[in-house]
Amino acid sequence: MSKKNVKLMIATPFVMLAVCGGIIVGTGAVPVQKISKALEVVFSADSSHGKISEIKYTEKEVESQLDDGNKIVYPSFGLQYATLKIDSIDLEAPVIFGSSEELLQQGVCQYIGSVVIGEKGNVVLDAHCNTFFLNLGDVKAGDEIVLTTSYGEFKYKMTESKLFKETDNSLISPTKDDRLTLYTCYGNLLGPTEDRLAVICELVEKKFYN
Amino acid sequence: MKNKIKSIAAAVAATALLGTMSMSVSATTVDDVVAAARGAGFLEEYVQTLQNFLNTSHYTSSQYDTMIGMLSSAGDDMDEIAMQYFGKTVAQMKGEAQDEADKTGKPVDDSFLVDIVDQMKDEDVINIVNKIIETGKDLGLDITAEKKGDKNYIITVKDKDGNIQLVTPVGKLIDRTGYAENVSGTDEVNGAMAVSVAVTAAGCAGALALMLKLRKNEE
Repeated sequence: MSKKNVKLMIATPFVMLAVCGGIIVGTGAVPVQKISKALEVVFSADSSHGKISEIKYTEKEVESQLDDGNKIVYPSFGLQYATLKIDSIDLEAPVIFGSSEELLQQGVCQYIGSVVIGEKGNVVLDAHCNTFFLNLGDVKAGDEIVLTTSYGEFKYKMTESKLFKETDNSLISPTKDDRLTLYTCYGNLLGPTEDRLAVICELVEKKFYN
Repeated sequence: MKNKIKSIAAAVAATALLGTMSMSVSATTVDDVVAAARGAGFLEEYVQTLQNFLNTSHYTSSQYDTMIGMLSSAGDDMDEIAMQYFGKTVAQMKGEAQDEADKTGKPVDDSFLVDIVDQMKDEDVINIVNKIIETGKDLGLDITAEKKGDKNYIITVKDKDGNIQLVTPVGKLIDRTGYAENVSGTDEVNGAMAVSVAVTAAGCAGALALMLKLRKNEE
């Protein structure tokens, strides 16, 4: 075997390694990112949810009194003002007033067109299906859901779940009864979808600290 | 289309509210503004959005008057369309829907508002939104409308210091709660892609060079 051919034989594996390695890195980057995100969700129940530095919110709370005499605190947009706890799916998450793409990365968001927790009506919360509401579909009828704020604790009982389209506003509309509606995307964990899963809960106990 | 219409109405309402906040002079309360929004026929979701916003904001009564004026104006525009195509005012149509909801015990069917918005041309809606945005500028508010898909907008209102005061959807009210795009992770993916392209290109160039060398040796 000539000296030139030996050099070529030595160089060939490195060249092939570079080509294959480049292709593997290129095709694997996105799946690896998604898997790492899913693992992060599964193994980081108590992970911190820091605010995105570029986004600025005016953090304000205004105390007020409801018609029944109980005191409530109105939060400004973007403020974390409650905690959502669902023991049946081992979930404890911050609740942020208002919703945006940035806020959805930080916690469970409250639809700005729904009543503040403690007021009469429909409290609507939503979160990503691959983060905080990963296991929302596992909540069963009768399961307890607890919302805790600085002014009170509110316990709900899951009554039913429904599938709806993203164009259907009926489940997030105001209601005359006291209820909690939780929703997230349904049917596609790793991408956008038109389908939503709603979990509807009735208020069973409210305790204002006053 | 219906959602777009709703969103447009919402945007108009929200912007009208926001725009009016920093103006004027009078003796009016938050309750009056909310009542005006409700009276003008805006969806309850938008009325609630307005109320939630005003709960933590402080304005003078004259500013509240300005807000009411803006809401009334938006309501008049919608009334004009409603009268033209349905022979009723928005308030009348909303009243009928409310009566029906009271009878059946179901949520208010807001499709009447969608029907009204459907009659509006896109340019009409955009013009109204633009006017509100311009009004916001005059008042020291930075109001932006970001298009999110077909006929859907996200209206963002910031104060003079850049603090976000409100983000409200116009069109689709339901959030996109699919896979959470990790903003910081996107850079990592882009970096990996760049490295991938560079390494693959280098590898291909090397393979080409080896082939040429091999051919030369054989000759």
